Amino acid sequence: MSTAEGLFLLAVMMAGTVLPRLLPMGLLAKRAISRNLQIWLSFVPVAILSALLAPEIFMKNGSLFLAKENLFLVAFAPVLAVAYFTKSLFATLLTGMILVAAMRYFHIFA
Amino acid sequence: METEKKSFDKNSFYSGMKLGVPIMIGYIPLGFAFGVLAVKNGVDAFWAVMMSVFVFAGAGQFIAASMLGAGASFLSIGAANALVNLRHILMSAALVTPWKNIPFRWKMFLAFFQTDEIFAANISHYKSGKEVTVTQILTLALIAHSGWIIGTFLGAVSGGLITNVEAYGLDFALPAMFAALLVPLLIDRIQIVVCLAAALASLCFMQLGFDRWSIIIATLLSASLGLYLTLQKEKNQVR
Repeated sequence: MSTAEGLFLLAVMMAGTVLPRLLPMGLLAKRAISRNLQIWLSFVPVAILSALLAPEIFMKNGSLFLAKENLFLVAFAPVLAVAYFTKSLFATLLTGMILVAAMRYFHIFA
Repeated sequence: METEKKSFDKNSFYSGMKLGVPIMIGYIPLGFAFGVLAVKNGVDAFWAVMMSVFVFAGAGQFIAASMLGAGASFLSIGAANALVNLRHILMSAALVTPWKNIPFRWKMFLAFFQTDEIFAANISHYKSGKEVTVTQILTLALIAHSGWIIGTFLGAVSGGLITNVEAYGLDFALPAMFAALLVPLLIDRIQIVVCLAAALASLCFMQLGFDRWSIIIATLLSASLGLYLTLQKEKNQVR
């Protein structure tokens, strides 16, 4: 990849990443947001995270994968429990990664 | 007093650290996986790292790497990246109210760092009623970003050395992180309904082949359901 090509790739990637993050902030900052829009936006975090998470857990290569061989699905319940009781991102992450690695290492369900 | 308040704010720094370090630890394996993938698809290690510094878009970068390997044009890569990042319009809009007292220039700068995880960590911080400060947002963002850059660097330079990231459960870092960020936000019944609706809708649209649009459609529909349920609930309380 030449320098010019690299810079051009960076530029198109930056445009597609930065604009969606900046535009609403710039456009909405100066005016008041209606109450209904505020309520609607208060559901956006939960909605996006759920929509991102569900396919990671329940699908593989774009189709449903509901079997004990789906290690992400098996690890999901303990991960949720740890997230709920510890409220710790770090503990949840570590539990999940160790569980999946261990199941693969000891060939549990896999 | 005023000048004292404007100087370095220790509490905000620590709460930014507390939120940022776990995300950094999650971003190292993700960045690593991106670095390996980028180099395997013919991106020089240097440009892979530059991309992580200046673009900072997880899903977008993964797609770019695999499209480069398939010989796609830069413009089509840019379009694909813009499409997966459309959801950030909604996140950025959701930050407008909590960030209303942040100076405009800072807002523009800090908005660059709002990935899914950093955004969610910020929102959960505000849900617990804590103060919104530039120091906290910036500390969180820079620590998390450093994890993404370090991971990319390690993955790009080690390239072929580590072939099996799955053996270490690294591929589960992303879903585990989403789960950890989601659970604390489920504070009432309507949020839980929205969560289930979004998950179900996302799965349905994925299964129907809507691919990357699924996330956005599922989000729009389920947030609207949340608004509808909230208005209904208020109506019933008035009666």
